[in-house]
Amino acid sequence: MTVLSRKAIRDEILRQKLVVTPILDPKKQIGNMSIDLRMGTSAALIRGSDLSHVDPALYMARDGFPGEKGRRRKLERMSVPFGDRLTLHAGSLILVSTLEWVSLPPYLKGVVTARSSWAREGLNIATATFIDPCYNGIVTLELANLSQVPVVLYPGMRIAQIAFMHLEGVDRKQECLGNVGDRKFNLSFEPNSGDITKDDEPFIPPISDRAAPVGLERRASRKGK
Amino acid sequence: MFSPKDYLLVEWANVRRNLQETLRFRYSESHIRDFYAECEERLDYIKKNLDATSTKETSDLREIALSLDNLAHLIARVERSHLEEFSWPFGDALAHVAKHICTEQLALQREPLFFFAAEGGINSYAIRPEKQGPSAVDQKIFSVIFPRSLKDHVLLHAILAHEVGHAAYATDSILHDLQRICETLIAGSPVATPNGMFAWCKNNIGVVNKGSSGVVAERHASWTEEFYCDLFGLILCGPSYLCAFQSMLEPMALPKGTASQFVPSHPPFECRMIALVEAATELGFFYSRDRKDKESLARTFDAALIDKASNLRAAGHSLLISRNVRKATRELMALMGRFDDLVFPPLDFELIQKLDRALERNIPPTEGIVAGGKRIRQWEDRVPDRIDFRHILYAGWVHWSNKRKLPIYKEVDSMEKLFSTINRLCSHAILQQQSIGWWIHNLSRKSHDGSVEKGNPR
Repeated sequence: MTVLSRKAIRDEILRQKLVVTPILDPKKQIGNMSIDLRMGTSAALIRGSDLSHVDPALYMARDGFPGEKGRRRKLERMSVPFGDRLTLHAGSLILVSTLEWVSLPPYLKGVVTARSSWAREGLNIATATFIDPCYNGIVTLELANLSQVPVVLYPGMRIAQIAFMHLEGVDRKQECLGNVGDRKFNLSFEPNSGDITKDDEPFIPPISDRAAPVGLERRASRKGK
Repeated sequence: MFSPKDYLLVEWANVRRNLQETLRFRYSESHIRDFYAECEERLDYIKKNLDATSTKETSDLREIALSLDNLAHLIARVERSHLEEFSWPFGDALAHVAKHICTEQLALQREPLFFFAAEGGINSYAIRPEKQGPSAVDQKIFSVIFPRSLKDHVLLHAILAHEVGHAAYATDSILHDLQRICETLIAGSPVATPNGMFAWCKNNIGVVNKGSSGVVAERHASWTEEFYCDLFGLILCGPSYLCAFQSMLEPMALPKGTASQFVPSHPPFECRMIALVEAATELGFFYSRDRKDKESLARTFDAALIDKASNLRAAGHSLLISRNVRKATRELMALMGRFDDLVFPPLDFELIQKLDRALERNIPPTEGIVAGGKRIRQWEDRVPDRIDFRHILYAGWVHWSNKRKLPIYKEVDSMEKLFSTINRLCSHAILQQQSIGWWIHNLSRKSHDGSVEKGNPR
């Protein structure tokens, strides 16, 4: 695996194989081996006030009210227009979109990290830093404030960076196959929670076998889901 | 028991409390700041008037009560407005092009404020203009309503251009000119007069009851304004308006043979569609006619609209006189051309081709993809391209028309998914354009005056 240099990144962009758009200031935004990513205007906060815990079994109730509620109730969606601000309190986690749309060819993978100047302020991009080849969409940044003081963020600021790695053994002429919308997280327009149960269902006992957590799951157990 | 004045004093305090309460809601700070200040000014003005009015001046008190009532309605909308429920970048872009024509040409008049909210209904698009605020007020507030269920469907949002026409009609400075154009538009047609309109409705859509002369006159004025607003929407938003109009209004059209008790408030869809296609032809909006080069991209799009109008015309739905529609279109175009950015900008089909290619790759049709093909230094030194939101909508509709005819999209699921994806990509492109606008605006401010204070380019 080789990391793309500044020149290689620019070449891939101008060949239209790699898409990162908009790049408002290419000279400053493209570094020696990465592109800075700006904060977008969509955010999702974990709504702690009416959930006792995260339970993968809730995600398995795929149909109807309990399943939908289990997945959707957890996140509170916010729009933060340019000029507005978002305060990330100490110890809290928030999902935000990037302003940039990223589209990767089959021979490149992306690695997203915090910009070092922001990391020194305690802003951390928590996990899931890899972006698969053929990914197409906004990048969801899982921002955590590890500092002891709140951090104010403004949409449009450069808060993250993406580096690109070349995958060995993949032909540069290869195209992305299949329907892009069928791939996990592809064609994301705003931050969403993932499905933590996917392909792990055999290990998760149904919610009806256990006492239901407060507020959400009683309906599920009544329906025997 | 309250005296009328005491009651209004109590209500005034309640409305003021409501205004303060709105700050608890998470409506964007940049969107609400001016609205809040304007409402505060109005409250101060109402209070001064109230204090100076004795309890015996019942007519003045009634005027004050109406002003307070109007203000209470406006303030309540903030509590029902959440940016997550509608496409605010689209709203901002539309407000930017609409603000000049909706500004009264008076010395102290400020540009109107556009306030956005979402409501139920599948085609509840509306702009509720203020004809006149309290007399101290020099800033109108227009409430722009989006249907909640169509949050990201920006291609359909083009229909709001029609509502801007209504807002312009509520602007005294240009009302006279607009009325003259309306007269041209309906001249010589069966609906040129209220009585003529009733007779036409009786013979063609089975209206049985004339009602009072006032009702017929009011419906006649309404029909005329609707025909004019259609032209206005077309000139503002271009061919996308025509597509949004057809898509949204045809399912709601009264089926042929349905008897109606009174004259309906809006002219029949079919007659409006024919007039719109006539106007679009006059404006040169059917780009693919007799073309074999890049404009042929729009062939399916153009043909669908032209065929639709031809079929309706053949079925006897023509109502307005063709040459008068064309004349009114030219006159309205000339009037709207006096206002910055109001008229649909001339199209560059090379750009549309690039935007179409971006959509084909499921990428928002905007700046980055356009940069392709340039040399590195050219690209790095460039100022990001601004693309008018109406061109993004047009590219979206053209792309939809071409994809829609493929067999795979005959299935409802894939058709819905395709339309939804195109809309979201276009919506995202409009958002990205807004960021480019901010970038360019604040960069030029910085280079001119060294100021670090950031302004809003809207």
